[in-house]
This record gives sequence, C-alpha cells and structure tokens, in this order.
Amino acid sequence: MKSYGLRLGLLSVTAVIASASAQAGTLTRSFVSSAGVDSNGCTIAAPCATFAAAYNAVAADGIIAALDPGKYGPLIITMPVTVNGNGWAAITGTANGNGITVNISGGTGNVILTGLEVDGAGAAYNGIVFESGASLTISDCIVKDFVAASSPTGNTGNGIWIGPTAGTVVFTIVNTVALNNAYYGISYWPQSGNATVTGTIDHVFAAHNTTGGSSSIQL
Amino acid sequence: LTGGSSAIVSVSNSVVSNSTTGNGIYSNGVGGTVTTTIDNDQISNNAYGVNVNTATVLLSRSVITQNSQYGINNSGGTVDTFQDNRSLANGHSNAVGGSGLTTTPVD
Repeated sequence: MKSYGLRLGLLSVTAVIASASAQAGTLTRSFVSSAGVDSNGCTIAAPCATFAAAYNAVAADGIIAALDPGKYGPLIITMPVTVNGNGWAAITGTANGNGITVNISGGTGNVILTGLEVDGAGAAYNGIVFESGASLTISDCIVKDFVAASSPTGNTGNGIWIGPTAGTVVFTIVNTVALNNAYYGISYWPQSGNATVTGTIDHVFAAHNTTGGSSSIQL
Repeated sequence: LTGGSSAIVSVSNSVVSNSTTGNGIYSNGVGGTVTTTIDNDQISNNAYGVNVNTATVLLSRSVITQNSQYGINNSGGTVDTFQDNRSLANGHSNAVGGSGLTTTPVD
C-alpha cells in the first residue's frame, strides 16, 4: 500500500511538470541559455531558459541544445527528441520527483540524452526514468545524488531507471557516470507488465551507489 | 521482474566499485528472464561483486577484487565463465558463493 501511494505521488509530480510540456512545437532545433527567457521563441537568437520551454517549441524528432553552462530544469518527454546539454547543462530534479522522465505513449519513438548533468541534490528520487518508448540512448551524462523514499522498492533512489511495462525496448548507456545514488546506479526493473528489453552499458563508471544496500548496476 | 519480462544486457569496459553495502552488478531474473554479458569490467570494493539470482551471466576478461562478501555469488542461476577473469582478494577466501560456475572454452 505504501508503494502504491508513493507511485501516485510520483505520478502527481509528473503530471504537474507534464502540464507545462504537453504540446509539440514546430522547430527542428530549439535552444536554451542561462541568459534565456521562456517567453522567447527558443531559437538560437532568442533562446529559452528551461528545457521544458524548449521542449514545447521543438517538433517531434527535433533537437534541444544548450548554448552555455546553466541549470535548465526537469523535463517530461512524451515524443521522440534529442536533448543535447553539450556537457554543460544541468538538471536538478524536484524534491521527491525525477530529473527526466521518458514516457511516449504507444511505446514508439527514440530519445537521445547527451551531455547532461542530472543531479538529485539529495532530495529528488530518480535521475532518468524510462517508462515507455522504442529506445533510449544516454551518452556522456552524469546522474548523481538521488535519494530513496523510506522503505524503497526500487522505484526511488535510482540514477537511471529503465522500467518499461510493455513492448520491445532498446536502451544504450555509454560514457556515463552514476554516482552516489541511494538504491541503484543503473537499474532495469519493470515493476509490472511484460516488456522485452535489449540493453548496452559501455564505458560506464558506477560507484558509491547503494547506501541502502542494493546495487550499482541491477539487471 | 514481472511475469514475462525479459532482458538481454551487456556491461562492458566499465568500472563498478565502492558500493560497499550492496552489489556491484546484480543480475536478477526472478519473475522473468535476464541474460547479462559482463566483459572487460573492473568490479571492486563492493559487498558482492557479481551477484546472480536466477539469471544467466556470461563473464569474461573482468577484474573482480576486494569485494567484502563474494566476488561472484550464484543463487540458482548460470554463470558461464570464459576462464580469463582475474578474481582475487574477495571475501570468503575468494570462493564462489552458491551454485558455482560453468566454464566455457575460449574460442
């Protein structure tokens, strides 16, 4: 019962963030900058301030890029897209929430996340959560400092949580660091359904995870 | 896992370390099917280095050291080793825990 309540809480947080990022835009590329403003058009000349705004401005299969070092906020992804932090974009997950959630209805579409620092700041539950989609590629990212709820069941405290409940899914995690996460550094753990997953983890550094006694990499 | 879920995952060229109260790599097929290929990894300073629970693991070219419990622990799964790993200075006098290993000739 406690786990069910926790999942409802996570879904509520997800819904609040998703309400700000539910529409697909028209740009093939959109941009964020530390000097950006979300009322801008998210173009390279007039960048936005958050990934959520830049996501709203980009079309399916588009690219969101960070123009300079900055903190660009959490993101819910519901369409295929590439988010390129260029190695200097940070996302701090909201307390008891996630940094990035990928949930594309129908289990289609490819998502690429590259060059991002996703930080839990000792308050957020998960760094990158993959719920639905055809594929997820994570490269050159850092996921760190995510905490687990009390009596964790694997759905909190994860740097990267691959948890699809249906379909055929491919994930790739390369050149990535998972550090200081409370439950799993990287986890494949669907908690319901019957997904079929093929995954590649290569050139990953996973360390100092499992303060709660679980695993750095769980498959 | 849940009924019918399956995963085929490779972990290569990676470092998994300092999870001192847990597992370095945990391959858990309970409730589904999991096959994990572990190749050319360094797995050190965890409680369990490679912990297998009702899953299949293919293990090659990896260094498994200084894990305080078992370097390799196999609970009801299959661990195929290509006999080219370096496992040393793990707990329980470096023994393999549980069901042991299946050796696979190197091609």
